[in-house]
Amino acid sequence: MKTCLVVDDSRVVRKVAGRIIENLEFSVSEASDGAAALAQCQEAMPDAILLDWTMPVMNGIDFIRALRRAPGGERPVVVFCASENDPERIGEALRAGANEYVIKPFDADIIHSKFSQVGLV
Amino acid sequence: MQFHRFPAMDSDTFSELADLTLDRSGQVLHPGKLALYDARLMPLLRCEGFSSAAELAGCIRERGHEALGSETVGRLVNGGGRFFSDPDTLSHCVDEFLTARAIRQKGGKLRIWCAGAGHGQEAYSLAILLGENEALKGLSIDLLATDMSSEAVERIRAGTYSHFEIQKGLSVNRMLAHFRPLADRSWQALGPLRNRVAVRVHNLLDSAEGLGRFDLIICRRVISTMAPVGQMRALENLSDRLLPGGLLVTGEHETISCLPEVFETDAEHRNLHARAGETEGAAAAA
Repeated sequence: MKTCLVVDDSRVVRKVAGRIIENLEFSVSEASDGAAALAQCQEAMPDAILLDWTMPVMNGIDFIRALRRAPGGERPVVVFCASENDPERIGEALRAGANEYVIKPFDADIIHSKFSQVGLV
Repeated sequence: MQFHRFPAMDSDTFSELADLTLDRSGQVLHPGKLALYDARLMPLLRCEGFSSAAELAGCIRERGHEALGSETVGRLVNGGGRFFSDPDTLSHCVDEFLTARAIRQKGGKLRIWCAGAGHGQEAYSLAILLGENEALKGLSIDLLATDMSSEAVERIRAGTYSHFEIQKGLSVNRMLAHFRPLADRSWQALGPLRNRVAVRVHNLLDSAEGLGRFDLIICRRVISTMAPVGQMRALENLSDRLLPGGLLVTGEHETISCLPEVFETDAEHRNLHARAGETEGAAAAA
């Protein structure tokens, strides 16, 4: 079974996104900020990461830059998931190493569509 | 902001609107989908100031309101859509069929018709693929999207999609390349993409003679929702507008029972139907 790490400081978002991704037949784990997510990735790299932008301790951009520099960190498919819809800012997330981008709020169909775009389902 | 809640459609109103829909579009409404039809009519009720679907049906019946009847049917049968629905078929149409046809006819003009285009996601998906195809660059390509609903046609013309619609089927790179966000968080197709798609109101039950003839006609998830008589009429109209050697594309899992003999269905891809005959220049035949 593929693995997905959901990184978001909102417990509700982690729960909702986690359920949707479990229905896509992923084993889901959670982290509430970038630093905690990085620690989990150092233990075991997931196949996919759904990543919030604004979080305490370490934000999504700093996390993905650190991830992509880490050994094996180029492997996970990272789907940013944030409310930011400015094309410049979305471009910044892509340049930092994101593979896809979900604009919040989302539904199951959007997550499925974006995971399909990057070959996760 | 407070939204007025409309009463659920009653069975008499459903029957009346189902008859109207069959008559105007050839399509069949299902009594098990009342909530869906209520949701589809809600914006029209709000916009036109009706308090219920029954009042709307009464106005069409008593005043013989032709335009309102057509608009009501258009809203009832239009289920929206998504970008790059069945991407393999779209890629086949552009990268194989149209490219081979362009080579065979040594350039010239290619004409494509998205019939029953709904809110236009398929037409814009095709326009994006056409722009990405190097072999077709520089060719004159007409892309026409039609729908029986003037509201749908206006939406295609505006090229505006909600926050949810824009994220279904469209990759972030294509979204950024071809759309821009508006203040209400919807996204609008950029001018160059919008300019590639011509739009027009057209009912598939009517003769399409005025539209010219086409190399490729895409009509998905419409024909199979029609009663047999409507299917035959629509297919005759479509086949009449397809150039010899042209391709009719129906929905991936759509069963078309009364395809005219002039078509030969692909053995592997059952939704691709080639029109018999020699290829000829679209521009000359249009």
